[in-house]
Amino acid sequence: MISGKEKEMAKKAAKTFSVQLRIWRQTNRHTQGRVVQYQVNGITADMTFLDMLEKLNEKLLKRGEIPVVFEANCREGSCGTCGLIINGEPHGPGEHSVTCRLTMKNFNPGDIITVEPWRIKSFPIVKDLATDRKALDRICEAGGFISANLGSSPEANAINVPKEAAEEALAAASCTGCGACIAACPNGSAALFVAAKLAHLSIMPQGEPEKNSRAIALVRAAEKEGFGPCCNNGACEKACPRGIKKDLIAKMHRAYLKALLGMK
Amino acid sequence: MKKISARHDRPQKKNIVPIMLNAAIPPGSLKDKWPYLASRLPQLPPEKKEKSNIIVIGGGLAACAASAALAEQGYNVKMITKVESPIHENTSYMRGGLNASRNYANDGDSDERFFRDTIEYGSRRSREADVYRMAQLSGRVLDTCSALCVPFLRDEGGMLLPRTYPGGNTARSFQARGQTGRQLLQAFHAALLRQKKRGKASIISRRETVEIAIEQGHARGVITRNLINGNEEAWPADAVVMACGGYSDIYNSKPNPLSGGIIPLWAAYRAGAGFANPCFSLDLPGNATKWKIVPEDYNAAHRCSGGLWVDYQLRTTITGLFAIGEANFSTHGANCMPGNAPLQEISDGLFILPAVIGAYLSKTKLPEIRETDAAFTKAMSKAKNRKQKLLAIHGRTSPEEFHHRFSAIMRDKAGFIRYSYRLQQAIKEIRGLRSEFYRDLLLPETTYYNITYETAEKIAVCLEFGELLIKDALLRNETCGAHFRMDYAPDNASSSKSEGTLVRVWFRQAAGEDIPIKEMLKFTYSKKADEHHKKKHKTETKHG
Repeated sequence: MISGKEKEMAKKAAKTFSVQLRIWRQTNRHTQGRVVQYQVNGITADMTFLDMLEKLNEKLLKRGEIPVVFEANCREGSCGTCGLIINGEPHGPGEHSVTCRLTMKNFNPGDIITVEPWRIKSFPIVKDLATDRKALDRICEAGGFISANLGSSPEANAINVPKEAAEEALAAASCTGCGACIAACPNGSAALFVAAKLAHLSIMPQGEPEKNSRAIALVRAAEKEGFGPCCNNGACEKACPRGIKKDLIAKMHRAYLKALLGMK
Repeated sequence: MKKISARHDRPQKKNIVPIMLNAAIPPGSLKDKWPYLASRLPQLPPEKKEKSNIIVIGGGLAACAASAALAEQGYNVKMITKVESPIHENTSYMRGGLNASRNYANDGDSDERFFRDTIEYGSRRSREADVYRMAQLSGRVLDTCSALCVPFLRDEGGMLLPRTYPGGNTARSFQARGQTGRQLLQAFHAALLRQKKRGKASIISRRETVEIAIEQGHARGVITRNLINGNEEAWPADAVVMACGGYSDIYNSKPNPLSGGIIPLWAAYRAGAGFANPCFSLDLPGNATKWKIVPEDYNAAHRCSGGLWVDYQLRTTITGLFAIGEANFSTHGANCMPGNAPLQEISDGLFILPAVIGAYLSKTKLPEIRETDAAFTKAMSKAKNRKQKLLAIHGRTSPEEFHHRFSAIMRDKAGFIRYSYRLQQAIKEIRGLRSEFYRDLLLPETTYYNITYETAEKIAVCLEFGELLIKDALLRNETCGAHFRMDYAPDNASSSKSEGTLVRVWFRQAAGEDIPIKEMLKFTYSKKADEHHKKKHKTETKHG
């Protein structure tokens, strides 16, 4: 009985279907892009979305066309390399999703799926679906670090960090730098990214001395990179694969104002 | 011991001659070795540091730690990485923990105990002095990480709360809720960005290192391929550091299918660097039988246990070329103790490398070098020729298909369970696949950000490296780590034929032949413990 059921399930899983893809194609950052429609056949429900794109690329390569460029690394949602807007949603359907962990179970046979890169002015398109997110590194370079010389630190337990603070800092520091929060924001604001960085470093006592200068440096750097202001609609929180809370943004504003006023 | 310079003095015959490679281990007892050397290594004056240029290949934890430490001391550092930003590098999905022998759990931990555990865990295949140094530096590594705001797990009192690994007795693993790798990487990436702001470091991203440029026997820079526009570029320097990680590209297993550092490693090997122990390690102590694992279930490679051969001062057999972290072989043995991987990466990069690189540069007079010099033009034309060769094939089979076929051979015949006849079959099949690859490869007609070429470039190297890995496996008449030779299973009568403690170092001849040399490992710390270990092992296998 059981084996029969299993067989049936396996059959169901092996059933293949096809979807239509509308993909953003762009040769490089200086050229005009356009949406191109492709059909992909032979998809199974347990395939990941990126496997499906690879299948498309095999087909394109065999036809003598140029494969679609997209980026991915770990394929388990930890590294923050991948990032696509699928049917208008960063990282695809669902809250806190990650592109590389998205399976084709979420789609039905014959669906028309629109695939776009992050559409943010400060992330220029490299090619097709790959963008250049170095702006985030430049924000961190402005002051997202601890000015401690390496190798000359006091013994680890000499710095007492309350458990709650360490947990809170870790929750903020789990940001993978994927950029989904910015892609989800109607204003293209990097507020959640900056707020998470500030929270991580300022909650811990090690980051306390530079709290004010860091808040000013990071907020201004984000502005300089062309990211918009926060509009408080919360799309970033839903898009974040790590579920980083938007409360941190309020804390960031507070820290920034306090720093401007020179308060401690 | 005679020091052999592998480039000039390779054995001519194919017979394995047991020449000792000189590991340059300093005198004294184990715990005095590193302090002795560190206080006697010649130092480079600050004004010379300001004028020295160093290239660090890789973008992960080891590369970030090394680049930040070198830049802080005044060197001009260029970090060359294939990813867009180091925060997306492979370290970011290391989950485990960071080991440190601080004894915060008051369970009797010490450098000595940590050292012994690591040696035994690695089935006595790692170099004793190197492991002891890592244990000695582990406390300072933890201190640095803590100062850099790594949010480790804490107890209610706000003190660090180390964890014990399954099978271990001491709590020495400091963790950040399954994202220790990301947190450590972020901390050292931030430290590097601080140096970048100072103007001492730069991050050259989206580049694959394809050749090492050697001028008069010294590594003087690298040739990279710009992944975006496809062009080769020359980067001259005074010393080159390999921090590119391991060769886990070989098995098509998740995570990281084809995202290791195999291309730079192979470039160094081609240039004459010795490659030690090309094999993988398990994340379990002893060997798999001890833990009653069904070998069929265990096909994932945990970590590269081999890498470029280095001596105690992290020098490869090419002068001026250093290897740190997973790119070298020295501290893990057949099994890598969980939590030791990030520790080695940080301790190599932060403490050891800056000291030994200063010593090298203070003793060596290097002439000025420019991108137009012969070393670079030669290496550049080699790289270009290799690329043109692939682009000119115009075949019908995609790189992805070759990848699947290659990894199928590796998994079926050279995975965790190995039989000598199957290994021999695998070599034949890989050679067959290689000739087909150069006959029938299909690539798209584009030069700008050609991701398909990237895959093909990796497969080309994998097809060479896979053969070396199998050649090494064929010589190992034993079961050890992720190398389960069925004809030498521990419960088999022939298990007494175990190889003993050695490191097999491979060198590539000009004719393309691979020659192995052995470095015998010496264990001095406790002969009694050895015998006890052996006895225990024997009785265990009898019962098993």
